[in-house]
Amino acid sequence: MNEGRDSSLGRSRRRKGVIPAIRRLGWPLVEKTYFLGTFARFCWMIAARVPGCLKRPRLVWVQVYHLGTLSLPIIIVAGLFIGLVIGLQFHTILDRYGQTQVVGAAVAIALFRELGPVFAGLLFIGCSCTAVTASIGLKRSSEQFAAMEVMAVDPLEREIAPRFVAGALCLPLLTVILLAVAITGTYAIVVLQIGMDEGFFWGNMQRFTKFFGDFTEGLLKSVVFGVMSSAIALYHGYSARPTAEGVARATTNTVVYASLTLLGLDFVITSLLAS
Amino acid sequence: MSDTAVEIKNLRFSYPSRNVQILHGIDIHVPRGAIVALMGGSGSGKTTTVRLITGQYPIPAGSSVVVDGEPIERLDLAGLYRLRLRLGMLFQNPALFTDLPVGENVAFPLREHSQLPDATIRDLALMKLHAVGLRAAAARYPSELSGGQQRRVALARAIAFDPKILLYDEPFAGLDPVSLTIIAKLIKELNEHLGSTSIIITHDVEQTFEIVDLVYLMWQGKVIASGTPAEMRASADPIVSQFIHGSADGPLPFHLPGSDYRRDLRLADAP
Repeated sequence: MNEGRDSSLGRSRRRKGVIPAIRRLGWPLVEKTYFLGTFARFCWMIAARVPGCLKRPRLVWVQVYHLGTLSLPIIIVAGLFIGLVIGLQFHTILDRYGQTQVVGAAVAIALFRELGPVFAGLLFIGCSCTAVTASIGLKRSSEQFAAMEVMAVDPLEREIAPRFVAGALCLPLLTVILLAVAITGTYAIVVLQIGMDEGFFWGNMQRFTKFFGDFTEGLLKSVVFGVMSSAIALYHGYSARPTAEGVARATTNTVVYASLTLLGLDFVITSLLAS
Repeated sequence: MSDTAVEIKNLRFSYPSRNVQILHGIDIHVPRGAIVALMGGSGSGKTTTVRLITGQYPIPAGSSVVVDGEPIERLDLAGLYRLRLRLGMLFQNPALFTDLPVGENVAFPLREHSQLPDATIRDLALMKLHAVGLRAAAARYPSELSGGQQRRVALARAIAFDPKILLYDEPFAGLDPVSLTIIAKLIKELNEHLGSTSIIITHDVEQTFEIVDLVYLMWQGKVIASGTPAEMRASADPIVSQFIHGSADGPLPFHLPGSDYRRDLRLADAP
Protein backbone atom coordinates (compact mmCIF):
# COMPACT_ATOMS: atom_id res chain seq x y z
CA MET A 1 0.00 0.00 0.00
CA ASN A 2 2.83 2.37 0.91
CA GLU A 3 5.08 1.10 -1.91
CA GLY A 4 7.23 3.89 -3.31
CA ARG A 5 6.01 6.56 -0.89
CA ASP A 6 8.73 6.51 1.72
CA SER A 7 12.01 6.99 -0.11
CA SER A 8 12.98 9.50 2.65
CA LEU A 9 13.15 6.54 5.07
CA GLY A 10 15.81 4.89 2.93
CA ARG A 11 13.75 2.42 0.90
CA SER A 12 15.08 2.34 -2.64
CA ARG A 13 12.77 2.27 -5.61
CA ARG A 14 13.53 0.18 -8.68
CA ARG A 15 14.45 2.50 -11.53
CA LYS A 16 12.82 1.95 -14.88
CA GLY A 17 14.38 2.39 -18.33
CA VAL A 18 16.84 0.75 -20.70
CA ILE A 19 20.11 1.91 -19.08
CA PRO A 20 19.16 0.73 -15.54
CA ALA A 21 18.03 -2.60 -17.05
CA ILE A 22 21.41 -3.05 -18.79
CA ARG A 23 23.12 -2.12 -15.52
CA ARG A 24 21.11 -4.75 -13.66
CA LEU A 25 22.16 -7.34 -16.23
CA GLY A 26 25.83 -6.37 -16.19
CA TRP A 27 26.22 -5.91 -12.45
CA PRO A 28 26.34 -9.64 -11.54
CA LEU A 29 29.13 -10.11 -14.10
CA VAL A 30 31.10 -7.21 -12.61
CA GLU A 31 30.47 -8.57 -9.13
CA LYS A 32 31.67 -12.10 -10.00
CA THR A 33 34.79 -10.77 -11.76
CA TYR A 34 35.54 -8.60 -8.72
CA PHE A 35 35.02 -11.64 -6.46
CA LEU A 36 37.45 -13.77 -8.50
CA GLY A 37 40.07 -11.01 -8.53
CA THR A 38 39.89 -10.28 -4.82
CA PHE A 39 39.75 -14.00 -3.97
CA ALA A 40 42.91 -14.68 -6.03
CA ARG A 41 44.66 -11.75 -4.31
CA PHE A 42 43.54 -12.99 -0.90
CA CYS A 43 44.87 -16.51 -1.63
CA TRP A 44 48.20 -15.02 -2.68
CA MET A 45 48.36 -12.98 0.54
CA ILE A 46 47.72 -16.11 2.64
CA ALA A 47 50.25 -18.18 0.68
CA ALA A 48 52.88 -15.50 1.26
CA ARG A 49 52.27 -15.69 5.02
CA VAL A 50 52.22 -19.50 5.39
CA PRO A 51 56.03 -19.78 5.87
CA GLY A 52 55.85 -17.16 8.63
CA CYS A 53 53.04 -18.91 10.47
CA LEU A 54 54.80 -22.29 10.21
CA LYS A 55 57.57 -20.83 12.36
CA ARG A 56 54.98 -20.78 15.16
CA PRO A 57 53.52 -24.31 14.91
CA ARG A 58 51.55 -23.86 18.15
CA LEU A 59 49.20 -21.44 16.39
CA VAL A 60 48.51 -24.10 13.74
CA TRP A 61 48.03 -26.94 16.26
CA VAL A 62 45.53 -24.89 18.24
CA GLN A 63 43.48 -24.42 15.07
CA VAL A 64 43.85 -28.08 14.08
CA TYR A 65 42.45 -28.97 17.50
CA HIS A 66 39.54 -26.52 17.16
CA LEU A 67 38.61 -27.39 13.57
CA GLY A 68 39.19 -31.12 14.02
CA THR A 69 37.20 -31.53 17.22
CA LEU A 70 34.39 -29.43 15.76
CA SER A 71 33.87 -31.87 12.89
CA LEU A 72 34.97 -35.14 14.53
CA PRO A 73 31.68 -36.22 16.15
CA ILE A 74 29.65 -35.64 13.01
CA ILE A 75 32.32 -37.31 10.86
CA ILE A 76 32.21 -40.44 13.06
CA VAL A 77 28.40 -40.63 13.17
CA ALA A 78 28.01 -39.88 9.46
CA GLY A 79 30.79 -42.35 8.57
CA LEU A 80 29.04 -45.11 10.48
CA PHE A 81 25.70 -44.53 8.72
CA ILE A 82 27.37 -44.17 5.31
CA GLY A 83 29.13 -47.50 5.85
CA LEU A 84 25.92 -49.21 6.99
CA VAL A 85 23.84 -47.94 4.06
CA ILE A 86 26.48 -48.49 1.37
CA GLY A 87 27.21 -51.99 2.70
CA LEU A 88 23.51 -52.87 2.67
CA GLN A 89 22.94 -51.44 -0.83
CA PHE A 90 25.98 -53.11 -2.36
CA HIS A 91 25.08 -56.41 -0.77
CA THR A 92 21.52 -56.21 -2.14
CA ILE A 93 22.70 -55.31 -5.66
CA LEU A 94 25.57 -57.80 -5.82
CA ASP A 95 23.30 -60.53 -4.46
CA ARG A 96 21.32 -60.32 -7.74
CA TYR A 97 24.44 -61.40 -9.61
CA GLY A 98 25.69 -63.84 -6.96
CA GLN A 99 28.78 -61.68 -6.29
CA THR A 100 28.30 -60.83 -2.62
CA GLN A 101 31.83 -62.03 -1.80
CA VAL A 102 33.26 -58.81 -3.35
CA VAL A 103 31.02 -56.47 -1.37
CA GLY A 104 33.90 -55.41 0.93
CA ALA A 105 36.13 -54.55 -2.02
CA ALA A 106 33.36 -52.69 -3.85
CA VAL A 107 32.47 -50.62 -0.80
CA ALA A 108 36.13 -49.85 -0.07
CA ILE A 109 36.81 -48.68 -3.65
CA ALA A 110 33.66 -46.52 -3.71
CA LEU A 111 34.54 -44.99 -0.35
CA PHE A 112 38.23 -44.45 -0.97
CA ARG A 113 37.93 -42.92 -4.43
CA GLU A 114 34.72 -40.90 -4.15
CA LEU A 115 32.36 -41.05 -1.23
CA GLY A 116 34.87 -40.65 1.61
CA PRO A 117 36.56 -37.42 0.49
CA VAL A 118 33.30 -35.87 -0.82
CA PHE A 119 31.22 -36.64 2.28
CA ALA A 120 34.04 -35.63 4.65
CA GLY A 121 34.53 -32.43 2.64
CA LEU A 122 30.84 -31.48 2.71
CA LEU A 123 30.57 -32.21 6.43
CA PHE A 124 33.78 -30.24 7.09
CA ILE A 125 32.34 -27.28 5.18
CA GLY A 126 29.08 -27.45 7.12
CA CYS A 127 30.73 -27.74 10.53
CA SER A 128 34.18 -26.18 10.57
CA CYS A 129 34.25 -23.81 7.59
CA THR A 130 31.06 -22.03 8.64
CA ALA A 131 32.51 -21.61 12.15
CA VAL A 132 35.70 -20.18 10.65
CA THR A 133 33.76 -17.69 8.49
CA ALA A 134 31.60 -16.57 11.41
CA SER A 135 34.52 -16.18 13.83
CA ILE A 136 36.69 -14.28 11.33
CA GLY A 137 33.73 -12.10 10.31
CA LEU A 138 32.97 -11.26 13.94
CA LYS A 139 36.61 -10.57 14.77
CA ARG A 140 36.78 -8.19 11.85
CA SER A 141 33.47 -6.48 12.61
CA SER A 142 34.48 -5.95 16.27
CA GLU A 143 37.78 -4.39 15.16
CA GLN A 144 39.91 -7.15 16.68
CA PHE A 145 42.03 -7.25 13.51
CA ALA A 146 42.38 -3.46 13.52
CA ALA A 147 43.57 -3.68 17.15
CA MET A 148 46.13 -6.31 16.13
CA GLU A 149 47.40 -4.14 13.29
CA VAL A 150 47.83 -1.18 15.64
CA MET A 151 49.81 -3.51 17.93
CA ALA A 152 52.11 -4.21 14.95
CA VAL A 153 50.79 -7.76 14.57
CA ASP A 154 49.79 -8.91 11.10
CA PRO A 155 46.31 -10.53 11.45
CA LEU A 156 46.79 -12.43 8.19
CA GLU A 157 49.86 -14.16 9.60
CA ARG A 158 48.58 -14.49 13.20
CA GLU A 159 44.96 -15.50 12.58
CA ILE A 160 44.26 -16.31 8.92
CA ALA A 161 47.28 -18.34 7.76
CA PRO A 162 47.19 -20.77 10.77
CA ARG A 163 43.51 -21.50 10.10
CA PHE A 164 44.27 -22.07 6.42
CA VAL A 165 47.09 -24.55 7.15
CA ALA A 166 44.97 -26.24 9.83
CA GLY A 167 42.05 -26.66 7.40
CA ALA A 168 44.36 -28.18 4.79
CA LEU A 169 45.72 -30.62 7.40
CA CYS A 170 42.42 -31.44 9.09
CA LEU A 171 40.34 -32.58 6.15
CA PRO A 172 42.69 -35.44 5.05
CA LEU A 173 42.83 -36.61 8.69
CA LEU A 174 39.04 -36.46 9.02
CA THR A 175 38.66 -38.27 5.70
CA VAL A 176 40.83 -41.15 6.92
CA ILE A 177 38.75 -41.35 10.12
CA LEU A 178 35.51 -41.32 8.11
CA LEU A 179 36.83 -44.12 5.87
CA ALA A 180 37.83 -46.27 8.84
CA VAL A 181 34.46 -45.81 10.56
CA ALA A 182 32.51 -46.40 7.32
CA ILE A 183 34.39 -49.65 6.62
CA THR A 184 33.62 -50.70 10.19
CA GLY A 185 29.94 -49.90 9.55
CA THR A 186 29.92 -52.03 6.41
CA TYR A 187 31.63 -54.85 8.31
CA ALA A 188 28.97 -54.63 11.01
CA ILE A 189 26.03 -54.85 8.60
CA VAL A 190 27.44 -57.32 6.07
CA VAL A 191 29.43 -59.68 8.30
CA LEU A 192 27.89 -59.37 11.75
CA GLN A 193 24.26 -58.79 10.72
CA ILE A 194 23.80 -60.54 7.35
CA GLY A 195 26.37 -63.23 8.06
CA MET A 196 28.81 -62.94 5.15
CA ASP A 197 32.08 -64.78 5.57
CA GLU A 198 34.64 -62.57 7.29
CA GLY A 199 37.54 -64.02 5.29
CA PHE A 200 35.91 -63.15 1.96
CA PHE A 201 35.10 -59.64 3.23
CA TRP A 202 38.63 -58.68 4.27
CA GLY A 203 40.45 -60.92 1.73
CA ASN A 204 38.72 -59.51 -1.34
CA MET A 205 39.03 -55.99 0.01
CA GLN A 206 42.81 -56.45 0.26
CA ARG A 207 42.98 -58.17 -3.11
CA PHE A 208 41.00 -55.68 -5.20
CA THR A 209 41.74 -52.38 -3.45
CA LYS A 210 44.96 -50.56 -4.38
CA PHE A 211 46.73 -48.30 -1.94
CA PHE A 212 48.41 -46.31 -4.76
CA GLY A 213 45.45 -45.53 -6.92
CA ASP A 214 42.30 -45.94 -4.87
CA PHE A 215 43.40 -44.70 -1.47
CA THR A 216 45.88 -42.06 -2.67
CA GLU A 217 43.34 -40.65 -5.15
CA GLY A 218 40.91 -40.06 -2.30
CA LEU A 219 43.63 -38.59 -0.13
CA LEU A 220 44.72 -36.23 -2.92
CA LYS A 221 41.12 -35.10 -3.31
CA SER A 222 40.76 -34.45 0.40
CA VAL A 223 43.94 -32.33 0.45
CA VAL A 224 42.65 -30.24 -2.49
CA PHE A 225 39.19 -29.94 -0.90
CA GLY A 226 40.75 -28.91 2.43
CA VAL A 227 42.86 -26.16 0.83
CA MET A 228 39.95 -24.91 -1.28
CA SER A 229 37.24 -24.94 1.40
CA SER A 230 39.50 -23.27 3.98
CA ALA A 231 40.47 -20.51 1.54
CA ILE A 232 36.82 -19.87 0.63
CA ALA A 233 35.72 -19.84 4.29
CA LEU A 234 38.50 -17.45 5.30
CA TYR A 235 37.88 -15.15 2.33
CA HIS A 236 34.17 -14.83 3.06
CA GLY A 237 34.84 -14.18 6.75
CA TYR A 238 37.54 -11.62 6.05
CA SER A 239 35.50 -9.76 3.45
CA ALA A 240 32.18 -9.91 5.33
CA ARG A 241 30.36 -6.64 5.90
CA PRO A 242 30.81 -5.63 9.56
CA THR A 243 27.16 -6.23 10.48
CA ALA A 244 25.13 -9.18 11.75
CA GLU A 245 23.53 -9.54 8.31
CA GLY A 246 26.95 -9.36 6.66
CA VAL A 247 28.37 -12.19 8.78
CA ALA A 248 25.22 -14.30 8.27
CA ARG A 249 25.43 -13.79 4.51
CA ALA A 250 29.14 -14.62 4.49
CA THR A 251 28.46 -17.90 6.34
CA THR A 252 25.77 -18.86 3.82
CA ASN A 253 28.09 -17.95 0.93
CA THR A 254 30.80 -20.18 2.40
CA VAL A 255 28.50 -23.21 2.35
CA VAL A 256 27.20 -22.49 -1.16
CA TYR A 257 30.51 -21.59 -2.85
CA ALA A 258 32.64 -24.20 -1.06
CA SER A 259 30.16 -27.07 -1.62
CA LEU A 260 29.68 -26.31 -5.32
CA THR A 261 33.42 -25.80 -5.85
CA LEU A 262 34.11 -29.10 -4.07
CA LEU A 263 31.73 -31.01 -6.34
CA GLY A 264 33.15 -29.30 -9.43
CA LEU A 265 36.73 -30.00 -8.37
CA ASP A 266 35.81 -33.62 -7.64
CA PHE A 267 34.77 -34.05 -11.25
CA VAL A 268 37.89 -32.25 -12.55
CA ILE A 269 40.30 -34.36 -10.44
CA THR A 270 38.49 -37.61 -11.33
CA SER A 271 38.63 -36.72 -15.02
CA LEU A 272 42.31 -35.82 -14.89
CA LEU A 273 43.27 -38.99 -13.03
CA ALA A 274 41.11 -41.17 -15.27
CA SER A 275 42.73 -39.78 -18.39
CA MET B 1 64.93 13.98 19.80
CA SER B 2 62.37 16.43 18.44
CA ASP B 3 60.06 18.29 20.82
CA THR B 4 57.12 17.28 18.67
CA ALA B 5 55.41 13.90 19.10
CA VAL B 6 52.80 14.30 16.35
CA GLU B 7 52.63 16.93 13.62
CA ILE B 8 49.66 16.97 11.25
CA LYS B 9 49.66 19.39 8.34
CA ASN B 10 46.86 20.07 5.87
CA LEU B 11 45.24 16.68 6.48
CA ARG B 12 42.40 16.03 4.06
CA PHE B 13 40.63 12.70 3.94
CA SER B 14 37.61 10.95 2.48
CA TYR B 15 36.77 7.26 2.72
CA PRO B 16 37.12 5.49 -0.65
CA SER B 17 33.70 3.83 -0.23
CA ARG B 18 31.94 7.10 0.64
CA ASN B 19 31.99 10.16 -1.52
CA VAL B 20 32.10 12.54 1.46
CA GLN B 21 35.06 14.64 2.59
CA ILE B 22 35.67 13.80 6.27
CA LEU B 23 38.66 16.04 7.01
CA HIS B 24 39.16 19.43 5.37
CA GLY B 25 42.83 20.27 5.77
CA ILE B 26 43.41 20.13 9.52
CA ASP B 27 46.65 21.13 11.29
CA ILE B 28 47.46 19.69 14.71
CA HIS B 29 50.65 19.99 16.75
CA VAL B 30 51.18 17.65 19.69
CA PRO B 31 54.22 18.55 21.83
CA ARG B 32 56.20 15.66 23.32
CA GLY B 33 55.11 14.77 26.83
CA ALA B 34 51.82 16.64 26.57
CA ILE B 35 48.27 15.40 26.99
CA VAL B 36 46.20 16.73 24.12
CA ALA B 37 42.44 16.43 23.80
CA LEU B 38 40.61 16.21 20.49
CA MET B 39 37.07 17.32 21.19
CA GLY B 40 34.06 17.99 19.05
CA GLY B 41 30.62 16.76 18.13
CA SER B 42 29.89 13.28 16.80
CA GLY B 43 30.99 12.86 13.20
CA SER B 44 33.48 15.74 13.30
CA GLY B 45 36.39 13.49 12.21
CA LYS B 46 38.20 12.91 15.54
CA THR B 47 38.39 9.10 15.29
CA THR B 48 39.42 9.32 11.62
CA THR B 49 42.25 11.68 12.62
CA VAL B 50 43.52 9.24 15.25
CA ARG B 51 43.28 6.34 12.82
CA LEU B 52 45.33 8.31 10.31
CA ILE B 53 47.96 8.94 13.02
CA THR B 54 48.30 5.15 13.46
CA GLY B 55 48.45 4.61 9.70
CA GLN B 56 45.23 2.60 9.48
CA TYR B 57 44.29 4.53 6.33
CA PRO B 58 46.63 5.81 3.63
CA ILE B 59 47.55 9.49 3.93
CA PRO B 60 46.30 11.43 0.86
CA ALA B 61 48.74 13.33 -1.35
CA GLY B 62 49.39 16.87 -0.16
CA SER B 63 48.77 15.94 3.49
CA SER B 64 51.44 15.17 6.05
CA VAL B 65 51.34 13.20 9.31
CA VAL B 66 54.63 12.94 11.20
CA VAL B 67 54.58 10.64 14.25
CA ASP B 68 57.62 10.41 16.53
CA GLY B 69 59.74 11.92 13.76
CA GLU B 70 58.54 9.54 11.03
CA PRO B 71 56.34 10.71 8.16
CA ILE B 72 53.56 8.06 7.96
CA GLU B 73 52.96 8.64 4.25
CA ARG B 74 56.52 7.55 3.39
CA LEU B 75 56.60 4.38 5.51
CA ASP B 76 56.26 0.91 4.02
CA LEU B 77 54.39 -1.81 5.97
CA ALA B 78 57.51 -2.95 7.86
CA GLY B 79 58.33 0.65 8.79
CA LEU B 80 54.75 1.26 9.88
CA TYR B 81 54.83 -1.84 12.12
CA ARG B 82 58.13 -0.65 13.67
CA LEU B 83 56.53 2.72 14.42
CA ARG B 84 53.40 1.08 15.87
CA LEU B 85 55.58 -0.66 18.47
CA ARG B 86 55.98 2.82 19.97
CA LEU B 87 52.23 3.52 19.89
CA GLY B 88 49.37 2.32 22.06
CA MET B 89 45.74 2.78 21.16
CA LEU B 90 42.48 2.39 23.03
CA PHE B 91 39.70 1.83 20.51
CA GLN B 92 36.21 3.31 20.75
CA ASN B 93 34.95 -0.27 20.61
CA PRO B 94 37.17 -2.14 23.15
CA ALA B 95 38.24 -4.61 20.39
CA LEU B 96 39.31 -7.22 22.94
CA PHE B 97 40.18 -10.67 21.62
CA THR B 98 37.05 -12.62 22.46
CA ASP B 99 38.78 -16.02 22.32
CA LEU B 100 41.40 -15.07 24.93
CA PRO B 101 40.94 -14.50 28.67
CA VAL B 102 41.39 -10.96 29.98
CA GLY B 103 44.93 -11.65 31.26
CA GLU B 104 46.01 -13.05 27.90
CA ASN B 105 44.49 -10.04 26.14
CA VAL B 106 46.75 -7.75 28.15
CA ALA B 107 49.73 -10.08 27.69
CA PHE B 108 49.14 -10.29 23.92
CA PRO B 109 51.48 -7.46 22.78
CA LEU B 110 54.16 -8.66 25.21
CA ARG B 111 53.95 -12.23 23.92
CA GLU B 112 54.08 -11.05 20.32
CA HIS B 113 56.93 -8.60 20.57
CA SER B 114 59.12 -9.56 23.51
CA GLN B 115 61.28 -12.53 24.42
CA LEU B 116 60.41 -12.21 28.10
CA PRO B 117 59.88 -15.40 30.13
CA ASP B 118 56.28 -16.51 30.70
CA ALA B 119 56.40 -15.68 34.42
CA THR B 120 57.53 -12.09 33.72
CA ILE B 121 54.81 -11.58 31.09
CA ARG B 122 52.25 -12.90 33.56
CA ASP B 123 53.45 -10.50 36.27
CA LEU B 124 53.47 -7.53 33.89
CA ALA B 125 49.94 -8.32 32.67
CA LEU B 126 48.71 -8.56 36.27
CA MET B 127 50.36 -5.24 37.13
CA LYS B 128 48.67 -3.51 34.18
CA LEU B 129 45.33 -5.06 35.16
CA HIS B 130 45.89 -3.95 38.75
CA ALA B 131 46.42 -0.39 37.51
CA VAL B 132 42.91 -0.41 35.98
CA GLY B 133 41.43 -2.23 38.98
CA LEU B 134 40.71 -5.53 37.24
CA ARG B 135 43.45 -7.88 38.44
CA ALA B 136 40.74 -10.15 39.86
CA ALA B 137 39.23 -10.54 36.38
CA ALA B 138 42.42 -11.87 34.75
CA ALA B 139 41.03 -15.37 34.22
CA ARG B 140 37.64 -14.24 32.92
CA TYR B 141 36.71 -13.85 29.28
CA PRO B 142 35.80 -10.40 27.90
CA SER B 143 32.18 -11.47 27.41
CA GLU B 144 31.87 -11.93 31.18
CA LEU B 145 32.68 -8.25 31.84
CA SER B 146 30.53 -5.14 31.57
CA GLY B 147 31.14 -2.58 28.81
CA GLY B 148 32.97 -0.23 31.18
CA GLN B 149 35.17 -3.06 32.51
CA GLN B 150 36.01 -4.12 28.95
CA ARG B 151 37.19 -0.58 28.21
CA ARG B 152 39.44 -0.70 31.27
CA VAL B 153 40.94 -4.01 30.08
CA ALA B 154 41.48 -2.46 26.66
CA LEU B 155 43.25 0.42 28.39
CA ALA B 156 45.49 -2.04 30.28
CA ARG B 157 46.33 -3.70 26.95
CA ALA B 158 47.07 -0.34 25.30
CA ILE B 159 49.63 0.49 27.99
CA ALA B 160 51.06 -3.05 28.23
CA PHE B 161 54.11 -2.25 26.12
CA ASP B 162 54.75 1.16 27.80
CA PRO B 163 54.32 3.04 24.51
CA LYS B 164 55.80 6.47 23.80
CA ILE B 165 52.57 7.79 22.31
CA LEU B 166 49.15 6.79 23.60
CA LEU B 167 45.94 7.38 21.69
CA TYR B 168 42.69 7.07 23.60
CA ASP B 169 39.41 7.03 21.69
CA GLU B 170 36.78 7.95 24.27
CA PRO B 171 38.48 6.44 27.36
CA PHE B 172 35.78 7.76 29.69
CA ALA B 173 32.76 6.37 27.82
CA GLY B 174 30.66 3.94 29.87
CA LEU B 175 32.63 4.45 33.09
CA ASP B 176 31.03 5.08 36.47
CA PRO B 177 32.15 8.30 38.27
CA VAL B 178 34.70 6.50 40.48
CA SER B 179 36.29 4.60 37.58
CA LEU B 180 36.26 7.79 35.51
CA THR B 181 38.27 9.73 38.10
CA ILE B 182 40.73 6.83 38.56
CA ILE B 183 41.24 6.35 34.81
CA ALA B 184 41.74 10.09 34.27
CA LYS B 185 44.34 10.07 37.07
CA LEU B 186 45.97 6.97 35.54
CA ILE B 187 46.29 8.68 32.14
CA LYS B 188 47.93 11.67 33.82
CA GLU B 189 50.31 9.47 35.84
CA LEU B 190 51.26 7.36 32.82
CA ASN B 191 52.24 10.48 30.96
CA GLU B 192 54.39 11.64 33.85
CA HIS B 193 56.00 8.31 34.78
CA LEU B 194 56.53 6.86 31.31
CA GLY B 195 57.34 10.21 29.74
CA SER B 196 54.80 9.42 27.04
CA THR B 197 52.53 11.67 25.02
CA SER B 198 48.75 11.21 25.02
CA ILE B 199 46.04 12.15 22.58
CA ILE B 200 42.54 11.78 23.98
CA ILE B 201 39.28 11.86 22.08
CA THR B 202 36.54 12.67 24.53
CA HIS B 203 33.29 14.51 25.11
CA ASP B 204 33.76 14.80 28.87
CA VAL B 205 34.73 18.46 29.17
CA GLU B 206 35.14 18.76 32.96
CA GLN B 207 37.25 15.63 33.52
CA THR B 208 39.34 16.26 30.41
CA PHE B 209 40.11 19.89 31.18
CA GLU B 210 41.57 18.80 34.53
CA ILE B 211 44.26 16.61 32.99
CA VAL B 212 45.05 17.95 29.49
CA ASP B 213 47.61 20.55 28.44
CA LEU B 214 46.07 21.43 25.10
CA VAL B 215 42.65 21.14 23.48
CA TYR B 216 41.72 21.01 19.78
CA LEU B 217 38.05 21.54 19.06
CA MET B 218 36.88 19.98 15.79
CA TRP B 219 33.71 20.55 13.89
CA GLN B 220 32.66 19.00 10.56
CA GLY B 221 36.20 17.98 9.62
CA LYS B 222 37.91 21.23 10.62
CA VAL B 223 39.79 22.42 13.68
CA ILE B 224 37.73 25.43 14.75
CA ALA B 225 39.59 26.31 17.95
CA SER B 226 42.62 25.28 19.97
CA GLY B 227 44.35 26.32 23.17
CA THR B 228 44.89 25.44 26.79
CA PRO B 229 41.83 24.53 28.90
CA ALA B 230 41.97 27.99 30.48
CA GLU B 231 42.05 29.68 27.05
CA MET B 232 39.16 27.54 25.86
CA ARG B 233 37.12 28.40 28.95
CA ALA B 234 37.82 32.10 28.43
CA SER B 235 37.06 31.99 24.71
CA ALA B 236 34.43 34.40 23.46
CA ASP B 237 33.87 32.30 20.34
CA PRO B 238 30.18 31.29 20.45
CA ILE B 239 30.92 27.80 19.06
CA VAL B 240 33.60 27.09 21.69
CA SER B 241 31.42 28.51 24.43
CA GLN B 242 28.39 26.47 23.38
CA PHE B 243 30.40 23.23 23.21
CA ILE B 244 32.10 23.70 26.56
CA HIS B 245 28.90 24.61 28.36
CA GLY B 246 26.80 22.09 26.48
CA SER B 247 24.12 24.67 25.64
CA ALA B 248 21.23 23.61 23.45
CA ASP B 249 21.06 27.05 21.83
CA GLY B 250 23.89 28.33 19.68
CA PRO B 251 25.57 28.06 16.31
CA LEU B 252 26.31 24.33 16.61
CA PRO B 253 23.44 22.48 14.93
CA PHE B 254 21.93 19.40 16.58
CA HIS B 255 20.35 18.10 13.36
CA LEU B 256 22.33 16.57 10.52
CA PRO B 257 21.92 18.85 7.50
CA GLY B 258 19.20 17.47 5.20
CA SER B 259 16.05 18.23 3.27
CA ASP B 260 13.25 20.42 4.60
CA TYR B 261 11.39 18.87 7.57
CA ARG B 262 7.94 20.13 6.51
CA ARG B 263 8.51 18.86 2.99
CA ASP B 264 9.53 15.43 4.32
CA LEU B 265 6.28 15.29 6.28
CA ARG B 266 4.38 16.30 3.07
CA LEU B 267 2.60 19.17 4.72
CA ALA B 268 0.28 20.90 2.28
CA ASP B 269 1.79 24.38 2.53
CA ALA B 270 5.42 23.22 2.31
CA PRO B 271 7.42 25.07 -0.38
